[in-house]
Amino acid sequence: MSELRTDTSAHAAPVVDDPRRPEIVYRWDLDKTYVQTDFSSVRGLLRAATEKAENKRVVPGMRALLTALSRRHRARIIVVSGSPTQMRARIEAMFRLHGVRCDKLVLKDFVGRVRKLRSVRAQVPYKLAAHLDTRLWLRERDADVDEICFGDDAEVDALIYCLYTDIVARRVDATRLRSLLSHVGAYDDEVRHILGSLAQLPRQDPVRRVFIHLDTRSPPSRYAAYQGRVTATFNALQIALSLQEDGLAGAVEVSAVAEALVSGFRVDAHGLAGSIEDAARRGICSVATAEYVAAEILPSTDVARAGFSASFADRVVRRLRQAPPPIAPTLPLAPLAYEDLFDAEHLFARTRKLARKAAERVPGLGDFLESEGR
Amino acid sequence: MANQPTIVVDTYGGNAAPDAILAAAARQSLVGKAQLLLVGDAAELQRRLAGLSYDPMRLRIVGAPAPYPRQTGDALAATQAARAALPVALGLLVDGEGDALVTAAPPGVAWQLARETLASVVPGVAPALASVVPTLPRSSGDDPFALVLDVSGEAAATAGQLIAFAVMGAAYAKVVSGVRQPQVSLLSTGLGLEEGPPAVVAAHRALKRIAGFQFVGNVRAVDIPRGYADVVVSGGYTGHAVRGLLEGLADLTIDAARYAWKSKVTWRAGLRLLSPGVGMLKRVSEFKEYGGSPLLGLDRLVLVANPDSSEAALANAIRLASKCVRHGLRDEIARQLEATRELWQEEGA
Repeated sequence: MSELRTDTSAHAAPVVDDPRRPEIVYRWDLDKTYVQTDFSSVRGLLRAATEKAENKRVVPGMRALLTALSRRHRARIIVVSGSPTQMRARIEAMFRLHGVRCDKLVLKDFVGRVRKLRSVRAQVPYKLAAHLDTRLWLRERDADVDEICFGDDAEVDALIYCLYTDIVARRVDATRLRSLLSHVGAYDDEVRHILGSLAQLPRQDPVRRVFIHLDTRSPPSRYAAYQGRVTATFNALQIALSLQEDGLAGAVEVSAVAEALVSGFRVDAHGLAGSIEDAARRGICSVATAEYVAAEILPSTDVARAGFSASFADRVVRRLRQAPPPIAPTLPLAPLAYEDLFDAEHLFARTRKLARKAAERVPGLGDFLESEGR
Repeated sequence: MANQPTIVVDTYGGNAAPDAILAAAARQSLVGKAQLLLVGDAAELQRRLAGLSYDPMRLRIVGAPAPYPRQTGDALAATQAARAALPVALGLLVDGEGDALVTAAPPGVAWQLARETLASVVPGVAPALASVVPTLPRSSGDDPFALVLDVSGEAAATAGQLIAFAVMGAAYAKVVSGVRQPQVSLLSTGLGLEEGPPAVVAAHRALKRIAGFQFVGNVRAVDIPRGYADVVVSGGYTGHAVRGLLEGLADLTIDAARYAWKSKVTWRAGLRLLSPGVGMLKRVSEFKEYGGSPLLGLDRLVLVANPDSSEAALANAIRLASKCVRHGLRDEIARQLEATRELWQEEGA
């Protein structure tokens, strides 16, 4: 999104040439983006709340990705999660164990919201407020640093990140924001909090990319309505490829993720190749980047032992060249139809739930006798 | 995920191509263990995949030179597409990139191109197209299906070919259906040793000589659904006719039930009472729901699905192909053919 940034010179904080100043901020969600959690059952919820740091299951390759990124470019890591504040010690212990430096961890205060039932479940007001607050926190320390956001498809992370981007860039003004927050069921004090935080921020356009990890395996077309602002990825390797394309990751980061997938999650050469080819076809990275990773990086790493040899890489490259992806037109960055998107996201979630229930139902006699004959 | 079978999937085959096969493959990529190589128009496949849930770690696309037929059910266009795309799919098997192929292309085209492209599993052996047929319960196990081969429509089979088919069919029943000692029979005009054409009589004599082989003699067509044997061996032309007849009868039964359901309330009530039985009948007699017909005797497995196959049937075909590879069907067939080489060579396979 950076190429379509609005002019911020009038409002920007003075750029300080400080070697300690971070070059980029990685803003992460936690559950289903970094940690594998199951919120669909009471048992899953209890497990998430009680399991020890060392037992937490990480989304394949994300630990290697985040660890590698946190060591590069003097990056800051911000984590905004819907998990309760009571889990802070466990989450911090998990990050320490993983060697990830988390600069800011924001968790949800469920106790403070107990009298506002809507607020316990609502993600949009809580996360929007948390993102704005952490942006203010960043501004106090690091001036105006660019951000890369990471979320997942289980809730409405894409919508929240895009809305956060648009309100900070003032593509969505306060009046429209108030109406939007009312549409998503925000309480008055939440609206006041969000507008107050926003007023303290200058007009900026800091978000360079929004990654949505397709944890629940949503079809990528679910994010077509976001007009190219969201990069939907199936796994950590595809994120690494995109970051490589943007110059934010290199051979070290990409190979770290690939090696983690091979050694920790039994992914083989076909799995890596499939991810790379899919990333190139969907425009997550260019064919040139995909070819470079396949031919130059991976065969010289430990993943060669999993079958990603030079000759295998040659076949991948040939396949990449078979069908170059169409070049997507660059659209002017305009505010999205957030009310419609919010309703569509809820409809998607409801439909998926119904589909799961229907799949469990065994078709009866009437179903096939009522169907059309041959 | 390591060392899983790689199944090549022809996305041009079938009357609902590529949507049915694509949906089946996408679903299997999420739940199955095999790697899937989709052969098709890469740009078109990617466009359609975007609307589906899938796992790119198990699903890759290999471009083929043909566009999809514009109209579903256009037999000529389907044949032309199959002739353009199947060589690419079969080439992946030849190059060792794939272990098995699933296609719903016109069976005649698939049969011809597979024979032209792939080597025999053991030199000198002719391939056979097998099909499963529902039967009454058999003593050998719970599998409600018997295997009939060859159903390819080939004009005639020599005695040696019938012997090789029997050996291959027994290996399939053992490895894939889990029948420990498959009962193998020859399709003939009567039960006696001397009944039937000369090739059948000669094959009968030879099969009786194989030690440890459960050859149960001849069966007549009427005995197939009665479950007299796990494997029924015939020449391609006869097998093709038998399978066609059984498919037609199954269609007739289901259409009769459908007619009864719609005609009278009392009949509908009766069918309700019979619903478990009718449901079972449908499950075993809907040929469109079967996984596909395995082409046995080639160096790589080819599964030919019915062109009318539903998404569920095509998913079954992918699962079946994966199972055949995981259980080492090709090696078992090669082993058994080598062990009986003298017999089938002697009789002219």
